[in-house]
Amino acid sequence: MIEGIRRKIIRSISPAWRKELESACPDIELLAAYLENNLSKKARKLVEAHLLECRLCRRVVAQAIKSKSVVPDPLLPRKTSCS
Amino acid sequence: MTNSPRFGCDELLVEAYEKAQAVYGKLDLAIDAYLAHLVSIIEKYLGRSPDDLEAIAFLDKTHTLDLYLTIACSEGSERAWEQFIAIYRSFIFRLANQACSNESVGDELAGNLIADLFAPDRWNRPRIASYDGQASLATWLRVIVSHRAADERELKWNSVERLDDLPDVMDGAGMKRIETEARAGLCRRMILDALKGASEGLTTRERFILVMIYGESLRAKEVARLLDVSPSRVSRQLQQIHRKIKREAIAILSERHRLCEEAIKACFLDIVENPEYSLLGLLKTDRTEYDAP
Repeated sequence: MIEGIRRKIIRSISPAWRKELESACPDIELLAAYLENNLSKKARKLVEAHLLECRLCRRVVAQAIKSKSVVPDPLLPRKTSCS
Repeated sequence: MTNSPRFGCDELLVEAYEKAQAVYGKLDLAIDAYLAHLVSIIEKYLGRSPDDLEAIAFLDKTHTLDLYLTIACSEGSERAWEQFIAIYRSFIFRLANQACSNESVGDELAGNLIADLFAPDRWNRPRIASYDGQASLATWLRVIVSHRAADERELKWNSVERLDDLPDVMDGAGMKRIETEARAGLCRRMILDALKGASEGLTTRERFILVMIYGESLRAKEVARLLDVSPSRVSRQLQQIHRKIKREAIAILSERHRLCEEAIKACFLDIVENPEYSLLGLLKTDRTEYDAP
């Protein structure tokens, strides 16, 4: 039954994410989008459920989020003209 | 101008190109190549004929500036690679050193990663071409570095012989030890049963919070960032989860195993002192060791 609900949720989200979520581990792009809260609510829930199951992905996300407070994003070049 | 279909957001796409050029300068990237790449990303996520408003909203969330740099890199622009190295090289090295906690391993990881971003993937494009702007380039790189560092640790872990796997040696007082172990085994089963029952009553979100805080040592602030809620909400939820687990474990020990208050207290003391009774083990998937009779 739970598997049925999971499949239903997967069917209702974007085809690009769907492919990733159906496979064993989400790819780098999906995990990065998750870290920036750039996923739909349903996709986020599926990623979180996967993180509970997969030690490797959980470590990746934990390490990436920890690094934010130690290594800030690099600065981009200044704009050369007004846009 | 380009012939690529652009879902009624032509102006936005061209504007994104001009903004990126103003920031990074001219990187020998033709507007057509840039737009074609953005269109392919829109199609990847929204299908071939998305609604105009949907495409505009999607574009608004996409990191078009970062894409300008990475598309130029993947198109072989030397200027783009120079810019990329100037901006992100030391960032990648710092990330790798922080993730590896050993400078030489970190340096090696960072050096290999930068080389791999240049190297062609199975579609004969540089690895950097798979960046699709759904997170900033910095976050994408954070995830790649973290992934490689985690892989590295996993390999090391697998190559270390675990103490549990070593054969047990029977000593002279073997029989007495077996008797004591049998009694301890009964307590152990009750405690594990209580913890298992308590963990089963948790929602996915509650399990996620516990695993990230205690298993991965994240702070409430960091978990809050992942869940897109306030840190105080995570702290409040954590307290509620503690109470819920305790309540449920007490109920199981008293109702299912008929333990008196004193015995339950002793069990809780044992849970606190004995790392073997890690609730985290039950929250993650490797449940088999606890399910064993």
